[in-house]
Amino acid sequence: MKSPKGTVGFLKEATIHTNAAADGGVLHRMHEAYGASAPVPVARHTGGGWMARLAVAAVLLVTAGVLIDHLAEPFGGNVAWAQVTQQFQSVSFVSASIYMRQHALAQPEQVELWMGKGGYSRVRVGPQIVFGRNGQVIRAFDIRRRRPVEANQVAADLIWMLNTPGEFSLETVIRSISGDKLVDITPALNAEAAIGEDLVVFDAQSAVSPGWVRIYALRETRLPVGIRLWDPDHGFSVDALITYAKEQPTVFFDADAFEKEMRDSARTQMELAYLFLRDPGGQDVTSGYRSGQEPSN
Amino acid sequence: MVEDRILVWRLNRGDAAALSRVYEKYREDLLRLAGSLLSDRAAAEDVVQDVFVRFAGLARMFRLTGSLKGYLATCVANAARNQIAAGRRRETAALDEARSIASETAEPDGWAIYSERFTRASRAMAELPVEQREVVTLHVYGELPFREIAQWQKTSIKTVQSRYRYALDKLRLLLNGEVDE
Repeated sequence: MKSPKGTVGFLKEATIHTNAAADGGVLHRMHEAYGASAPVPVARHTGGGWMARLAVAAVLLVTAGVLIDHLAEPFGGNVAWAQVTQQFQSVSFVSASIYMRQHALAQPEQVELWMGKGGYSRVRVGPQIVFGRNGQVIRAFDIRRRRPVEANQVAADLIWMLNTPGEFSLETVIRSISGDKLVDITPALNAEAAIGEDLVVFDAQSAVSPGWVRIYALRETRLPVGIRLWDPDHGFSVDALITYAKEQPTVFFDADAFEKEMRDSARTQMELAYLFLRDPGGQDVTSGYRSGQEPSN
Repeated sequence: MVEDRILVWRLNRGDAAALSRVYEKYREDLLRLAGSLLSDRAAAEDVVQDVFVRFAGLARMFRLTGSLKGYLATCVANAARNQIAAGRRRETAALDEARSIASETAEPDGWAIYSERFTRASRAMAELPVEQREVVTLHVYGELPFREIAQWQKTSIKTVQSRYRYALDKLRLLLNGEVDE
């Protein structure tokens, strides 16, 4: 039987398989070795949701301004990024909708994140609403079961990372993905699209693989509005939409006020998911709770 | 690739489940690499197993600077080199010959199950000088670029490219009639 791809093709098609029982034995030894190794102090994360945590971290780094500071360095303190940082610091309220897809045909998972001044944060992951401040989870609630729960790990990590940008630095996300090779692709990317003229686009491109992260910022205000993380090999992707608003009522970050409303059986899950969220344009966020109806603080 | 970066990131942060994915992803290529470098099947399996276990032991502190596959492939190649050197010292060539992969097709209780094609390929590979075998296996199974192989072999990239070319020419002859060019 001839190989149609030459000698290299022949070698590549020369397969080896392994038997499952022996695989189990090797894996057992690997787990033993891993378990016996000394834990690294920062390794507080265990369990599932790892991909969500990493993906969300990329978004978080931009929204927290951490990534922007680091991105400026490879550009030699690029003015655009410095401006992005400055502009971001003047923002009172940031929200991010993050969609993650494990592979090309997978359904995306969504995480919503809101951050306000004073170190307040709120995260929705699935049916959970998690409140945080200064890196600590304050309370977490399951709006399906309508009761306090232990915080989802993704949400807890997010809140923790908000307060530990040094820990969760560019080293962890962008460098790991990009291999430090950053490319400003603004002219090439946006030249053809009129709408693109309003955008500056930065790429963090892998030096060792086809993976990349793209960050979109508004040209005039320099605020980042979108992030795309893309792995061409496996179709793993993250898309994030970042929006800004004037300050929300403080009750939006108030876990006790939330719990009180959650006990009201008339509140729907939809209402609870966005309880006390005020749309900056005055639109209704939910049908049962209208902007301006929030309790006085 | 991005997935490897994420896997290492998980391992750094205590997520042992990532070990299974690393193992599942690379075990066959590493076995092919070791199996092509070493004529002793048991030794090849031991080498790959040891590389995986050592990697697991270091995984919490591991810092990935290139490709994970390239790193693991280089570890296997280093261990295989040590095996070959030790084998030479013990002058066990005759024993190696007797236990060669080329002379076997399957071993029910073994870890790896070798295809007929792999058996033919490894038989041909065994005819190559060690340096050429290293270049071919690291490039084809480890996906290491010539530049990195040159660094590893402590030689020039031109020498590595020549070794690769000579090796493929010889393999083509050895696999006479089995491959098209």
